[in-house]
Amino acid sequence: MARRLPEVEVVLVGMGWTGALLAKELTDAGHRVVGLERGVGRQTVPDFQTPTMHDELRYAVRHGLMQDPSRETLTVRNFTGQTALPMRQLGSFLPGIDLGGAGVHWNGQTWRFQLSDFVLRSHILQRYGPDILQDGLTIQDWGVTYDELEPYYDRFERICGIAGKAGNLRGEIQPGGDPFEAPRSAEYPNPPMTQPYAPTLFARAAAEVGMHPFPVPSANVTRPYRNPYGCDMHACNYCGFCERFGCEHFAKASPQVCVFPALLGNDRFELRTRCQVTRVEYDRQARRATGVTYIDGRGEEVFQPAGMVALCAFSIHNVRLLLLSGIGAPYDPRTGEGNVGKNYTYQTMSGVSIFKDESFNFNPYMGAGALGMAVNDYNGEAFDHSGLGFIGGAYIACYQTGGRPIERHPVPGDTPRWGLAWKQAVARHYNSTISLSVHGSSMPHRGNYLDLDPTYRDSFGLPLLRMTFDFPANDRLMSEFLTDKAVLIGNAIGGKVEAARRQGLYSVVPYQTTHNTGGAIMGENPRESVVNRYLQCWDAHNVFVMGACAFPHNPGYNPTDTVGALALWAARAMREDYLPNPRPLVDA
Amino acid sequence: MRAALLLALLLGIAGGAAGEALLGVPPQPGQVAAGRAVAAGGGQQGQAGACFRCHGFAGAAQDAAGFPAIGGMSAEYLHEQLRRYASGERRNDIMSPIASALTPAQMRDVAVFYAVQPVPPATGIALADPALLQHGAILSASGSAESGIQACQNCHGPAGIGIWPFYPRLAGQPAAYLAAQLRAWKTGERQGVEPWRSMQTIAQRMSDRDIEAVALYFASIPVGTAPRGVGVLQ
Repeated sequence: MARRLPEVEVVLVGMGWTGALLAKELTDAGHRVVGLERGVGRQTVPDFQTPTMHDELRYAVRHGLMQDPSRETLTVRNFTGQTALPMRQLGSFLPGIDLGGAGVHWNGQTWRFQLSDFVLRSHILQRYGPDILQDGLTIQDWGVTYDELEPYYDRFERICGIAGKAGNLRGEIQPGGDPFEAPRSAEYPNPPMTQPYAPTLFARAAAEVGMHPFPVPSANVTRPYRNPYGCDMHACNYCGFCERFGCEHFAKASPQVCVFPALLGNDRFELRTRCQVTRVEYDRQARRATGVTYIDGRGEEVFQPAGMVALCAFSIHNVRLLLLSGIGAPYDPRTGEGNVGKNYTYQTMSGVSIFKDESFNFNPYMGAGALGMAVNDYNGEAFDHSGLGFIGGAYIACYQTGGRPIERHPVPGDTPRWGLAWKQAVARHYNSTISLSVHGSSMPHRGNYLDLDPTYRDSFGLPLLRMTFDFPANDRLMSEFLTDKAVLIGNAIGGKVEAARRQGLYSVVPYQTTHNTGGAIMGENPRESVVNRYLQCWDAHNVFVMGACAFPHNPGYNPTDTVGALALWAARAMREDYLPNPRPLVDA
Repeated sequence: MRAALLLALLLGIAGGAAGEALLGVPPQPGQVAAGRAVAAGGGQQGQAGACFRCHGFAGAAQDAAGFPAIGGMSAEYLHEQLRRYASGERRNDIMSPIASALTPAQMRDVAVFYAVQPVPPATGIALADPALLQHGAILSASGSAESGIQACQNCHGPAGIGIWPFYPRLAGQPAAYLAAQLRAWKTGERQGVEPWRSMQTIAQRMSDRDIEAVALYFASIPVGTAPRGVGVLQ
């Protein structure tokens, strides 16, 4: 029998970016909030300080900041005909754990989506007609428009101190920025990063072939900065330890740097760590949640009654919690009925390496997570897809995220995989290789989804989430087309150009990206979505679901800016509309 | 970064946009000799601007006067400071006129000369309140959560040995010198490097006790060996 605690006004499940933002916004409005975090507390000082933090083996190779798959993982398969097996080592994606979540170990690449992304189905049908859509693609409109979200993008970017150059200010194209971006109401809060040699060569070559390079918007801040919450950030020193590491310099935006200093200590907020939520208690008759049940650090089961619940865990965990709690109908790929787990999408990644001669010294160890240049000429609806047979696109970027010695060893494809010749090739190419990322969109397909595994269970005895996913033909065509464009830039840079293309079935082994999206998607009506435009569950008006699980498709950009903007957009609705008068905010 | 840097050095790689002439080339005996001549008073100011009068030919610290140890510091760092003294970005009544009087070649030569000197041992073991030293050690190794200050060693290397080429060695520097620099950053008398302003930002968050503590701590610890760049320094 679970121990029952006194009721609280709002309970948040997970204290990463979205949990931190909601806690701050709601406590500022006078509400009392409890934040539940399954991991432990941690902060910049002392937890992220060097030399401890600059330990590539511990953090990058052995995933020191990620969830432990021996306690909780998921099962994976490519098709419904296969038996899914548990992922026993992290690979393709790396869900974070502990206070701040993935907001601690992200790179800081902070992109907005395009105008068309929020109305994708309407836009595609209007521009190309229905024939461009391959069979089985389940794209749809999001229920919210870019213009509605713009102020919240702007606010999240100010909270993070994003360093960049606007390319479109209120419709006016700006030199030096991304001419294909959606209009911004204001310039970035900080100037762009100083670009190293390799991204500079990339930008020059991209311009030569007629594309429009610009500095990647970066959450590695470029000067001392105070954000709207009054939190201070210091300037990045390009140490090259962003991805998979915590920032020791208060320079990379994270909940620890940008939110918690203004939140922890507020007596309307209570943080409880080592509390693993196992389900939202759902009253099916009343169609509302009564609270959440969790296992605390001593192994005791606790029921926390709450007036409102927001799921702020990592996207796939939010989907699993909905399924474990029986909120909403699980998606059935045979009939297309049900919505929870539908439209699971990922990111379609490929890459191009350019091996230059030894006179080039790129010094890759001088890096930062979002340091680099990119082009968006072939992303989203920036280009005409007529006759191409696919929708979507990618940005092509030259990043310099760090040249750490264990994992950076670029060698041409014909190099032996080990031994003296391999070592000589690493020595030869370490400092003279340029790597391009092709960061492609992922379109939803009716065969790609999330549900509960019938066989495998976690350390609490609860069914694991089961992922059924392979890259749809649409995305493979897109990736081929975009990789060719990256090769074109590579050839203009000059050198030995090799493409790593998107081939074969989706594999969960090699790292690709932690952009797991969809599964609890937002939309215009309860027939085809789990949450409404305010991220409020159609089936339980006092349950809100944050995160990238709300994306009906995953555009060719990193998700965090949109995750932050949606959380702030939802927070406004909770604060000003829902909490004063709890009810469904959109009529079903 | 250090590990990556080391690997790069083992691979015989040095270079970068800044200071190509200083980074990529082994020190020429002629350049070292020319630098020694500048240190001996060969600059435009003659004996009045002779480095050795305060810094000696070994570039050792003078604790009582608060003169820093410059021997074995990276050539790039020394060159950058001379450039800043000359341009007025860093102000010092003694150093500014001396640096202003150096030609660009003299500035490079004398930076290389002091860079190739062995790292001088720390001269004074501070006799200070152990609690204060311990406070300095904590700031050095892990910073302060309360004040929002990161650890000194993030940039200045383990035990303050410095990270080649741009982060100077703190270990073994006179406490008076270190404290004076931190106070100068705190008051704005010494400006940080734009746009980062890292040391200014940090010093402004330090109390007088914090400054005293880290200065005493770094003055009191043994001077370890730092990785050095190939080329100029070997």
